[in-house]
Amino acid sequence: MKILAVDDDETHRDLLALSLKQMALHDLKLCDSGESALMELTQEATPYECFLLDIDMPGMDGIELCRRIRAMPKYELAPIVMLSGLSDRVHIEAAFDAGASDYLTKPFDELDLSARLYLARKHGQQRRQFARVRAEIEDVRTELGKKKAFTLATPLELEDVAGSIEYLALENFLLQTSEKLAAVDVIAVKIVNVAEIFQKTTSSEFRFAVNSVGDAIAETLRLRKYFMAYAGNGQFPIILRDGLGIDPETFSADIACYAEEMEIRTMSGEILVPQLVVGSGMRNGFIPRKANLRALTSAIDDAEECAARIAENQSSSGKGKHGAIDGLFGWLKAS
Amino acid sequence: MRQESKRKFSAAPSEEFEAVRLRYLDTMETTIIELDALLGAIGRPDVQERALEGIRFRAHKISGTAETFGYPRMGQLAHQVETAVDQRARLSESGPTKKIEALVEVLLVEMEQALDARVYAPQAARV
Repeated sequence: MKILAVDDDETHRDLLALSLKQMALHDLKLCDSGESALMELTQEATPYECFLLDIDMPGMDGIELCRRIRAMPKYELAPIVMLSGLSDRVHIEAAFDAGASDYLTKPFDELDLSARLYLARKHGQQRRQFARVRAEIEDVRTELGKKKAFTLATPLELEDVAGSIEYLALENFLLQTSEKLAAVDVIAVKIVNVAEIFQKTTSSEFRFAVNSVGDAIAETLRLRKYFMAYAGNGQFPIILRDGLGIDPETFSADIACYAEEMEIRTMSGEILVPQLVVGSGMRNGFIPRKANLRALTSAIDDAEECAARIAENQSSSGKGKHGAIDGLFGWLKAS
Repeated sequence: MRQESKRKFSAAPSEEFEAVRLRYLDTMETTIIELDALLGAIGRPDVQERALEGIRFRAHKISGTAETFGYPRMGQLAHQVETAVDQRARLSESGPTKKIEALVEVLLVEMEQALDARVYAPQAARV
């Protein structure tokens, strides 16, 4: 894997070179500043496949460098691993906000670095492969009808949705968040009728639906500090990081205002309205370090259970179609 | 008794790691001189903030590397210096600097001891 590592500290560059030399699979280029890294990126013959960036550097810091690399179309999907001695929440959040895929704290453990690079490599390959297939499928979408380049369970990137990051980055953010930091709330929104929407829409229509729900969530949370992602299966896990707590009932009511006009018109002319449900999640909690990913999965599971109960109620009451608001207030019934 | 480092840096051939470690100790000499000068500048109001930022930056770098080379206590002390400077900046930029100065003094002693012992340097970080 071709890697560009940027660190102003000569000792760190030496250690990185030694570590990666042992791993043998990597072709490493080292730069001592953000400015020289950007210069290198304008001159390289073949693109880099992964970036390792220090944060605290004189001149351009690693977070700004991360943002600039991510803005380059050819590195839109590249893994960017922040490798920093700064372990406070402000810097971790800023890094993921700027588009980082992962965050490792110095002094780094060689085995940990090796594992993270392996994951970055696999992830990068999958994303590139996915992007290629998606582009091909989109090209022939009209001939292929509703065939999609992804499954119902595939996590998708939300496009231009405020506060959204990749699902993997959301997991990595939680892994970096320890109990000594301020409380977070982990909650999830689920599209109850996601299977129906997935079945009846094309790739771009389904993406539109997912992005619309993402926009509604973002609008509802516009005054809050949060990260969210689309995790697949109609699930939007959300991490509220301002420690202010959240009441799912109020959140449900608020999101209803923005979701009212949400409708997806399919190529066949059918109109679909996403039904949303909010799980109770984990509120105002200090997440034990070993349980932070469990908090995420339990928030998702919780929303899933609420959705299942709503679907069951609808089925037993003979109602096949519900609008967004009906679904939202299903949370009240479910809880 | 020296603490066993939790961080592992094991796979590199010993000669190459040793070369990096020696270069690290060479740069430590310079860092000691710089930290000493910055410590002296804390008392001058016109350059106090720049001096503190210089101390924080160097302490940050030390805390990220010292443990890897078998100096966990030095890493911890550097981290304490960095945290103390950050805390002062958060609370009040005109706040007292006595605690920071005391921590830097202790850090400098630790660094000097590491240099004095460099012939018998520990390899605690390597397994």
